[in-house]
Amino acid sequence: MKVQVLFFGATADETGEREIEISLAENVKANQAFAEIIGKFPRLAQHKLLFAVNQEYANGEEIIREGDELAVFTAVSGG
Amino acid sequence: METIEADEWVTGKIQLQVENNLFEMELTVQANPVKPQRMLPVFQQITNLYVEFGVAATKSEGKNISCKKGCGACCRHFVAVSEVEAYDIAELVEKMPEPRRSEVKERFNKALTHFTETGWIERFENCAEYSDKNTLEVLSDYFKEGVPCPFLVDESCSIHNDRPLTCREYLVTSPAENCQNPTRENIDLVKLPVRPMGNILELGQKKPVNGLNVVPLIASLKWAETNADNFPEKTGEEWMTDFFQSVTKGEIPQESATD
Repeated sequence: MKVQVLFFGATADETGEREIEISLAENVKANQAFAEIIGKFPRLAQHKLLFAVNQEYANGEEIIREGDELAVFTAVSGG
Repeated sequence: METIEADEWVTGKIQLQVENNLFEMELTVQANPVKPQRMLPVFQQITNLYVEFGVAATKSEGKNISCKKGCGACCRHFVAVSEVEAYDIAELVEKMPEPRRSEVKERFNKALTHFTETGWIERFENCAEYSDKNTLEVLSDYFKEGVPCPFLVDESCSIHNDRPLTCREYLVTSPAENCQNPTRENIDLVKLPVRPMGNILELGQKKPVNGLNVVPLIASLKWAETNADNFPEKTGEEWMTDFFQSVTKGEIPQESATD
């Protein structure tokens, strides 16, 4: 099945993409889907990431369906 | 605060100066109005950042953090959650698969029944301020009952990624065994630049239970069931503005840029 993945801010900078489409196995959980995305863009792993599924922050347990919209964000800190 | 908009989400860059430390954060939040519960992952992440900073600063002073996985001593302390978190915890439990959901609900029920029957809940409802000697005694008495958090499994938190803000903020450098008999004198908390739990409380509307403005974790399911969720819906940017206004106790200079 195909889903859309959006990148914002630093994750868009790291991937060089704002929006991509990826193929996933049926009924995968969100944490598996996001692991696949990080596998595709390993530089994302350098960041602390927040994920969303269909405009809501995800805790990883969500079941991903055909046509869902995933999003990947980052938070950075200094001090 | 600088923001970039993109359909359903807004990405903002925030700079927060706390004493001599500058915190720079990039946060992406909902562009459409949402309940504050939907913002909790952001508040949790902000809390994690401050905790990481506090831990690093503590270690740089040569101190070690005593907290580790498998030590659940603090999981028998009184845990206060904000109204926002109480609704979120109830939702989290409702989404658990069976039989876990029923098991967790039963643990909540047993704990609340215990503290109701011993009269502790009534004493808690009469607490007015944290500075009162009576309040400190009531909170300390909770621990003496030895009732574990309903989410504690094998002395570890079973909702670690979703745990309340106050649990994230509680880290000690004093010996772990002191947490078995905590007093103000024998517990050394890790100093954090900001404790977001206090700011999340200000997003609440009611005065839950008493003047402390918190809900006991063990009462959160009942709280959510018996109190209608009247929180307003605001955009993520508005919630973040409320939050950082609470942190800074003042106006936030804004600098906006549109994609």
